[in-house]
Amino acid sequence: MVFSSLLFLFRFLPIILLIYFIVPRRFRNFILFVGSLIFYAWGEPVYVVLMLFSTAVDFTHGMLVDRFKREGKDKAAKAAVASSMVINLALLGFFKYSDFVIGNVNAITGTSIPLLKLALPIGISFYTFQTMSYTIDVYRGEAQVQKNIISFGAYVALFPQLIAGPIVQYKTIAEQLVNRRESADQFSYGVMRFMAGLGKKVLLANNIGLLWDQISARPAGEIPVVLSWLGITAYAFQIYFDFSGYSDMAIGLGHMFGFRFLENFNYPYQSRSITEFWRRWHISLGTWFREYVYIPLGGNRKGFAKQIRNIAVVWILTGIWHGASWNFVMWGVYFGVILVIEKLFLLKVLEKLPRWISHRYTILLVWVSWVIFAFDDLARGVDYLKTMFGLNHTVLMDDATIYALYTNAVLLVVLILACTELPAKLAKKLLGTLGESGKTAALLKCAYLVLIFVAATAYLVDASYNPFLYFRF
Amino acid sequence: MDELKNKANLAVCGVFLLLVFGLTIASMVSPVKAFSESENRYLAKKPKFSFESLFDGDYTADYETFITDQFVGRDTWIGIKTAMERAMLKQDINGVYFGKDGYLIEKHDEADIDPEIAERNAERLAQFMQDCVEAFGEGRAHAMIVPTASEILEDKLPPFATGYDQETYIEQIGALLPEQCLVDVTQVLKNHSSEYIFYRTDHHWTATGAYYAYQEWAKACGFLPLSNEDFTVQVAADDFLGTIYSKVNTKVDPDEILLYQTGLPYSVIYNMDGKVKDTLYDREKLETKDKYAVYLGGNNALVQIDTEVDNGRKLLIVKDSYAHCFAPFAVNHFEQTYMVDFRYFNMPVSQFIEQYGITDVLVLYNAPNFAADTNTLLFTK
Repeated sequence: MVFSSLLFLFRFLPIILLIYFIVPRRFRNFILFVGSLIFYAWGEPVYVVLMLFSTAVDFTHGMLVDRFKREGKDKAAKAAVASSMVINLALLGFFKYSDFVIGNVNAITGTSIPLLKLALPIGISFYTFQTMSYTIDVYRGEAQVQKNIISFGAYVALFPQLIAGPIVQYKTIAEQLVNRRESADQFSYGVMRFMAGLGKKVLLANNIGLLWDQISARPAGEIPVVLSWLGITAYAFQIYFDFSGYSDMAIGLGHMFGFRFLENFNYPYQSRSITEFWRRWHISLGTWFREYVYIPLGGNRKGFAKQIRNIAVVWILTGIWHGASWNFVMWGVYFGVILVIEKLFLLKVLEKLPRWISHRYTILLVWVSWVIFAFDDLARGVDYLKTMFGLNHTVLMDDATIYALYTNAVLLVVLILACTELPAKLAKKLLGTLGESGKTAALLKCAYLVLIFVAATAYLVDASYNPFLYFRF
Repeated sequence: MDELKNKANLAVCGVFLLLVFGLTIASMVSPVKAFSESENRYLAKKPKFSFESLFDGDYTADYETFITDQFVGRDTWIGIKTAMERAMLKQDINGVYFGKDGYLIEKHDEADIDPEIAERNAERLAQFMQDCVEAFGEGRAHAMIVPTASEILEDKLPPFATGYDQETYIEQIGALLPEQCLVDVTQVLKNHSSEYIFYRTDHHWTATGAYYAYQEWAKACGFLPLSNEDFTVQVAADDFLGTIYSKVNTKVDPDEILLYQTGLPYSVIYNMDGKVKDTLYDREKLETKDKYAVYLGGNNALVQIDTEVDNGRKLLIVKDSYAHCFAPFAVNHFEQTYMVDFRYFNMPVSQFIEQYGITDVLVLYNAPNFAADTNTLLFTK
């Protein structure tokens, strides 16, 4: 199930809210656990078993690690952590990467091993990373062992962050799992945050995504230069507003149920370097790789050569985490190389340059990265890049370009403004002058809420309009 | 102070819960509609539960369609979305251009048409025309591939709008066909583009548009076309909101349905059901949403029309719905006319021709429909 659907908004959400707040506090984790399983099982009824298996494995491994540590058997504890990692990574590897590996083996050795064609269990990349962080944190003494399997299950399956993150580390919500106090204030913050996310996803990302779909459907060799830039800009906006919208909805829903997840996006398109971009983009993934890969490998403390190796490992992994295909590996490597160059000297230069230059430098590199990211087929991606930089000798613009520009002009202005801090700052200032508690402020907040709610619902209802209709006439 | 702040937050919570629970309950208690008048289609019903359908994902997918189709105030929501898009300066919504003079014009993108299928269909048509010329002689077999409003009403489209190049496709077909077989009506329709030749709210041409095309075709066949004076034209409806309107649910002027009447006797049989009707116009359809179906009863597999003409000629029209308002003109030159729709009629065309003693053939489709048609194999059998 996804948040941006009528099914979620008008069936699942009201039911789980009702039950959750009616039952006594001690049953609330149980309700969350069961509710989350239903949320996941909707559309994935079989793979819910996989998630339960993962939950049981990590729960027992956590207990083992804790026991061995208390008994002073550090080697045994380490072995338990290793065992948990092997099982988690084996699951992830089998379901996500087997066909990629088989395909490459076939291509290299000329064999024809049949592909498994497994459907990827939704969210597996997120929840395996979360459960791994749990056992490791218990071993490191950064988190207490969880002895209640219901609470642990609620953490793993927690529906707000289940399918698209953020990757919530166990230690950051361990306390909230057992001792949280839901409040009207927090609920209201959650509502506003959820609305922001829903609007980003349904009103902004989906709409600009249509433009990218149209443009990318054309052969790259025919796309005018300006249209190709407009296309990848549309994609950049789509992916940002979609992804950060989901994170906002997750954080918002978390607040409704009394949780405080860490932030996942921080206006990444304002960055002045790629280094800064990755501190602002999908923060929970970057943090995960830093804490559980980069630093354990030695980080930057073991000499420059090792540091380069560590950066390479992290960025190849980051790339392939996004999908089992070579273009994602390339995408990771691309960022790894830029980050090393920035570390070597470029970052210092960028800091001295005027803001508009360093900002444009960042946007240009990120936009190019989205081309690599968008096309599974590397050759098509390269072809698209050639068009962007005039190497395909296509025209500068045509009628379709002008049409796309003026019919999307308003949307583009909204998108540009919405990916900066400006609206949030203005809102804060406005509410500040009105008085956070004033009647006008309350009225404004409610108006904003109703507006997005109605608009998003309208878009969700109409998305079901069946265009196949025409062929019946 | 804190208490006040609390009140503002309580208001937010209250409004949110009201919206979520209010719409949920309203949606659940509102009666299930089987058919949507405004969208002119059957809406999804509540799916039947079975473990099999649950595990293969059908049940959940169907259930979601059910909720969206049956959402309370569905038409209003679609209208809200259209209004918002218009406010954002969008010129096309759900595949519909908002043209000048209140015209809604169906959009056909280059990407919607698979060039391989389009070419294959053209080749099959060429083969069929070749066979017909050999069998019936010259001047007895024609194809009319009609450009739609987005091609003809160019000056009514939003500025810089582009789309599938129907004119080029029609020219390509013409080059493949035996000489004189293609009746190209592009130019004649363009000459009359300021007249009411396409509906503003429906994807069809009007009877007036079909009349101009008929004149071209009659000339190609060597007939003297009936002139305007031969008809009395009746406005049978002035509240027609067609298929394109249904995609956007916005406020527009409804269309008129014109019936061209000769006063001559006809007998019409639908799908060989043995019931003989004495009119080309099924007026009961004027009471329904799809008023265009007044022309020869709308979509049927096979329609047979007999006239008092006594020339021994029998016309076969292989067609889509563009032929429905065209046929009332064409039938006047033949003893018998058959209209066949490959979407519903699965018989090789050569067999039909033999069985019914056909002497003349017309293939009539609109261009995007023909380019994408998947039943053209029947032409070659």
